[in-house]
Amino acid sequence: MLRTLRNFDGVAVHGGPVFSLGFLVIAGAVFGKLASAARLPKLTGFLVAGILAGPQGFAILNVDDVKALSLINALALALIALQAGAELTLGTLQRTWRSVMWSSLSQTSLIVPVMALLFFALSGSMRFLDGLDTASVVAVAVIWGVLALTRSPAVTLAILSETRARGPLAEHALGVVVLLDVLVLPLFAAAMAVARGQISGQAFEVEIFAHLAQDLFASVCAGTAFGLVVALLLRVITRERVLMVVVVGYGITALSAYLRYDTLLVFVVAGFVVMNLTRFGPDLVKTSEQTSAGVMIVFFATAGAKVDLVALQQLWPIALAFFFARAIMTIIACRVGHRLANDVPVVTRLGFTPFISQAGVTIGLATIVADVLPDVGKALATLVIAVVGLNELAGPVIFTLGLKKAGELPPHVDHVDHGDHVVGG
Amino acid sequence: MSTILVLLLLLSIATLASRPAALSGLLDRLLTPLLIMLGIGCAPGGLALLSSSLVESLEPALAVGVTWLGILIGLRSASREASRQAGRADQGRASLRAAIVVVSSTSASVLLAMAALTAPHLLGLRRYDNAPLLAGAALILGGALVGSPPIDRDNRIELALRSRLIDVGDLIAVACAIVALAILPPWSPLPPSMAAVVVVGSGLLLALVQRLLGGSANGDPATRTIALLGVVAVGAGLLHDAGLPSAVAGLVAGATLGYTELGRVLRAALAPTERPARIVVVFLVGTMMPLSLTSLVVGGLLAAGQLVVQFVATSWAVGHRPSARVLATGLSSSSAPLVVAASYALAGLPEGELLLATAAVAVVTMDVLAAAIGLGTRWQFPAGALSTPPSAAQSTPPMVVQR
Repeated sequence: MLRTLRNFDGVAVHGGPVFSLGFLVIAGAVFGKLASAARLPKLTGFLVAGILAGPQGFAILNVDDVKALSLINALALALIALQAGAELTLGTLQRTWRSVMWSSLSQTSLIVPVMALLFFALSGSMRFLDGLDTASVVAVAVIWGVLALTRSPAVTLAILSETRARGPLAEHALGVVVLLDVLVLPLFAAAMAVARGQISGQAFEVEIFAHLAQDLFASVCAGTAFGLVVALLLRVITRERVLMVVVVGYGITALSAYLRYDTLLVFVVAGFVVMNLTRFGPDLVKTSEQTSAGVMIVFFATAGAKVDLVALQQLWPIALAFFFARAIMTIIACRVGHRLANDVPVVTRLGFTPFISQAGVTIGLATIVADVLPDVGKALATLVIAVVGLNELAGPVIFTLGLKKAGELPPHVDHVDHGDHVVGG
Repeated sequence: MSTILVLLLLLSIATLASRPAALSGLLDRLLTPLLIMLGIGCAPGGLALLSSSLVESLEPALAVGVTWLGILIGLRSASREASRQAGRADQGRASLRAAIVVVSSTSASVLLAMAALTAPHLLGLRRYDNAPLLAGAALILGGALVGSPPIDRDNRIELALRSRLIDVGDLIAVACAIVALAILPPWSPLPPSMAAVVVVGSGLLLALVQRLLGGSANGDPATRTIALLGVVAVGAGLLHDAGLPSAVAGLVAGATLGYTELGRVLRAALAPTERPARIVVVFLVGTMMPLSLTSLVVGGLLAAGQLVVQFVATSWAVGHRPSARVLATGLSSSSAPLVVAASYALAGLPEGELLLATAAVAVVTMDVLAAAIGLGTRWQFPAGALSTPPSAAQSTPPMVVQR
């Protein structure tokens, strides 16, 4: 059918990124419905649609198409982070700060060293580490540990938006995922600095932490300023708000990249400011949701198209081992953290479910490793991508099941809505 | 930084466009000309705020935008709600008169367009260099610009006549654009007749796919909109790549859907997307059109010709000289000419960019003329105009003059 569509009277037509966009929207919507019928989150359907249509699936989309569609990612991440910030009300923070702090602390202090140890223990079976001395392998193992700590704010937010879950688990997930996103940055910078010194012989630069702290502080300040600007725009602009959100999303992303700010943090703070310091929070949420319906399908389907099936095929035994190890450590770390925080039983029992997912943040950091440490980084990135592929598929399902077991899904919804509601919309 | 500049520019436009108080009266009526001029100013040939590569990279966005608007125009053209308000006898008489008005004004408009398009030849300017291209361009421009003459709301026959004219108004643009496909010299890999068949077939296929994916009229609005977004992008991508005008397929799809119950629901659901889409499309047209003396001359002549056509057709239809308000409403352009011309230009029609620039000049001139004629009167905007303020749209009773 598709081949027929793409051959007008014997003339081969590719369609380019616009066709790919449309195809992903349609395929994502169809697979989202199928996933919903199979009692899975729609997001899983979007990912599967992307995997099947992607360059390593049926190759309906080529690598260039996927690259071109990544333009949508900036907008999707902006919308996700804005909504995340808007969900973080002062009341939510008051209720959850203790739980969030302990959970983040226990995950950081348990997952990073244990996953690094596991990596070191399995290093003999990874050929790309041959030739490195023990200290260098340890340095790479620490990077692996930090990468294992990364979560997917996008997936967490998308699931919360799709299911419209409300309750302690949902609130806790939101707070931790945002905090961990910030905590990972200095840890990753430190691990990279050590590894670079060990493998490439570059001196350890303490100043990078000062720069990082400056950037994070500047990101918070910029987020506050942008939040006030967004509120002002919402006050002035009454009609074309979808257009406004699109423009603000791309504009602030471009500015943040230019000024080297943490884009996600900027948007989260901006959303937080609009919701908590102005009266336009509900307007922002409504407009973001209106805008995000189609954007989210493309975002997650594109993420699916990027899943490296070849890497997964080659590395599946070791990837599977790391996947299970990370999941088990996440469960343990979360239980420890929630017991220390004296959380309600439902959070103690199911508090790990939001943190299995990994996606763009992890792949982004792995790409940095590949650039900075070309000798081992590329192979390491391939392994990361293989593990992320598993986490990406399993994470949304586990989190949705967790929300269902916690009884935080709206009464009219079984696990996710079986109607025609689309994620984000 | 140019990307940021464009975004900030669009933000400013959205801000101004949402503040009718700030843009009341004349300025609001001139929003299309202002957007076109803004686009020309920002383009690489103007102040060069936008680089050539950036403008080129925005082409897919324009392809999606014109197809989206094509569907919306098509949906509107199939609206028959107004005609229910008149009696059968009135409708019968009105249908006959409407047919005469539409056929005669369209013919006159196309002939005038053909005359205007030959003017550059007489002046020694760049011109459409062969007969099929000239005839096709005349059909595209003449058909899209004429719309349907507005009728004052004096009696029941005029009301019925007006609703009949609305029914067929934008369909003229659809029909002319399809006929033009078969007349124009071959430029896509397909022969002209096959190109016309493929475009019409694609439009029908898009409507069918939307019907299948978008669910019933009672289904979820978000699903319908997302399905349409997918359908539009797939159609625009494939047709654009095949060198065919995707907006024409969109017009066909919209008109087909418009006659179903789903179309009525879609029309209401998509109405809020029309204005932002128009803002973006008109601005992008401004950035991409190469302004030349030929386009200025032909566009100006086309606008003047439309003034005559509108005056004569309306006078004949209502039996007396039309008021300035009615004439201004009729002359104020819809976005159909820009949408159809942009689509042909994107498809790679020879002299397609000249066609787009000519349509843009004609639209701008018509809007300026309408603003001048309607100065001091409370004239309404046509249904597809960019400058419809919400207050006017809300207060407009269903049978008030619209195009």
